[in-house]
Amino acid sequence: MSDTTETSLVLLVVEDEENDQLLARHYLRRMASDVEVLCAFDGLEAIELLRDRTGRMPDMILLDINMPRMNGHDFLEAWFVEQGAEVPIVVMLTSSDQHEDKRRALEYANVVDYFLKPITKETVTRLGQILDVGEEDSTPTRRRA
Amino acid sequence: MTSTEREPRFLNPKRMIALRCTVALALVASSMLLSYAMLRHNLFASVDSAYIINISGMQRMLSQRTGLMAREVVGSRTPAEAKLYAGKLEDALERMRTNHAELLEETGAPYMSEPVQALYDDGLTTAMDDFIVRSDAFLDAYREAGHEAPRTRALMLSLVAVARNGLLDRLDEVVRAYQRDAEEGVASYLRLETLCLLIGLALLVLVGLTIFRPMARSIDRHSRSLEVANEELREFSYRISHDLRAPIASSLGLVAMAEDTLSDGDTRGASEVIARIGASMGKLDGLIEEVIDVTRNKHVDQPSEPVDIDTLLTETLAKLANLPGFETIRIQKDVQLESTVTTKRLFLQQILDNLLSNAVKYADPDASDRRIEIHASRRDGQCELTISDNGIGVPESAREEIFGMFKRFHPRISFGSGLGLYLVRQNAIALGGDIDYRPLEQGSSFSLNFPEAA
Repeated sequence: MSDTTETSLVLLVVEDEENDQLLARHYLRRMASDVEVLCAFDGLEAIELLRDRTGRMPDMILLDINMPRMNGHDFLEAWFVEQGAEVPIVVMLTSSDQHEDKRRALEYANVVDYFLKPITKETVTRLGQILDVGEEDSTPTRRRA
Repeated sequence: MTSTEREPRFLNPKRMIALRCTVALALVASSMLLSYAMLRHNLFASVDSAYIINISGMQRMLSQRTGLMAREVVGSRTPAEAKLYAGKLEDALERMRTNHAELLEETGAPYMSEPVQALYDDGLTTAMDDFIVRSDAFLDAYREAGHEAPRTRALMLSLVAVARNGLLDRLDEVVRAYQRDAEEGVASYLRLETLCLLIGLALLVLVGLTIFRPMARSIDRHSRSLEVANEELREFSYRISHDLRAPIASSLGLVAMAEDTLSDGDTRGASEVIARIGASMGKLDGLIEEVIDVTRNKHVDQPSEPVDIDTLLTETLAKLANLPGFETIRIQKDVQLESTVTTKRLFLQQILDNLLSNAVKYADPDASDRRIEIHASRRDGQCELTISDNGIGVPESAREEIFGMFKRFHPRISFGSGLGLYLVRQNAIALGGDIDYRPLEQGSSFSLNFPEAA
């Protein structure tokens, strides 16, 4: 996927740092002309947003790990319990380079990649590639019960 | 919510364990030594008693043998036969004489019991002397007049009568007396050993209750304290690696974004991004400062000094005056302290900095009457400082861990590092006090209690 792709995208950024939300918006909006970027400040807010949403569900969630109230790991667990396998693709975007964080996140089948902050143009290119793959294989499964 | 549980303070654990073990081992060793001393005493007494019983038994047997040999001498059919028996009588008499001399030497020994001593004093010695004299007289008569002489026969009858009626009973009595002594000794030894066993068991229980149980508890406390410290350290290291990197990563991203914005010709946008980079760096600086405070306070003790709480509050509030919204908050200060308070100024100052800046930062933006109430008082050497506000408060789900490390409770208001209240609690403990959190219907209330330093 490139900046010229016309595919309509809905992306959710779950991130407590305002600057990182701003950066994500800045780069993600360049992915497509009509991309919609939703933002939540933590896992709880993301769940509420997803639960209350009546429109098209996000094609991808960019998820931070360290957040107040509900962190990224707890969000994944909670959202799986609530939604079963019907969950969008998740990409982790975090400052944590801890092996344990990476291992825990990648236990979920719909968590397809793990990026370290900051988000860059290269990250966005990779996200575009992932979304293409996601559209071909649109039935996410869960490795962890 | 409270943080009243104090961190355990230990007086040199190594010395404490060594001292308690030494006392415990000394008590057990005393019990063993007492038991050994009693065993040794009783064994030696038994050996002495056995010797006396043996000699007395032998005398009894020899007295009967002497009488029997005398009878055989007189009843012999030939002089040769009489001579043979007389020889045996002489041997028995000689042995008897030696034994008697030994018994006389032993008489009066400390281990000889009173009844046995009484038997010797009450004629046994005389009777034995008399028997030996009669035996000698019999042998003399035999040698002089032969075995068939009437005098020899008369002396034999007299000797047999004395051996049977006088000496035998007395020697039997000595053996029985020793037997009673031995039985009493064994019974007494058993009683003492039982007493020793009970004392030993009581000592073990006492040692267990007063030494090993407190020691086990102390070790358990140490162990739990170390586990908590390790967990804190692990959490600290994990979070610090994240929280130090996060603003740097964010700033790097913002730098790239500023370049994009500039290349688009949007200088105003670029300027806003640069301002964000500045704020991010400021946040990083604040975090580093708090980390330094936390680590320094853990390792450096502060001297106590007289502190004017009212002045300290005024200075703290002055520092906060440039925080956004400060001027919209009504601050009520009620300091009921006539004199200075002796305490660790730096720790108290950091507590006030954190509590008051939180009260300002987390003021309710929708409230028309924003206020912070400060109350300070002293009673019986205990100072109480309460800071209440009508701000946005702490979510109920987060109240349990309000004093935890790196805890932030408001996702949209990202002021702090999450170390502030952790530092407040650590400092309250360092002051020998505690900090309580109480949610209000609207807002929060924190009460710091600490004793005045001597």
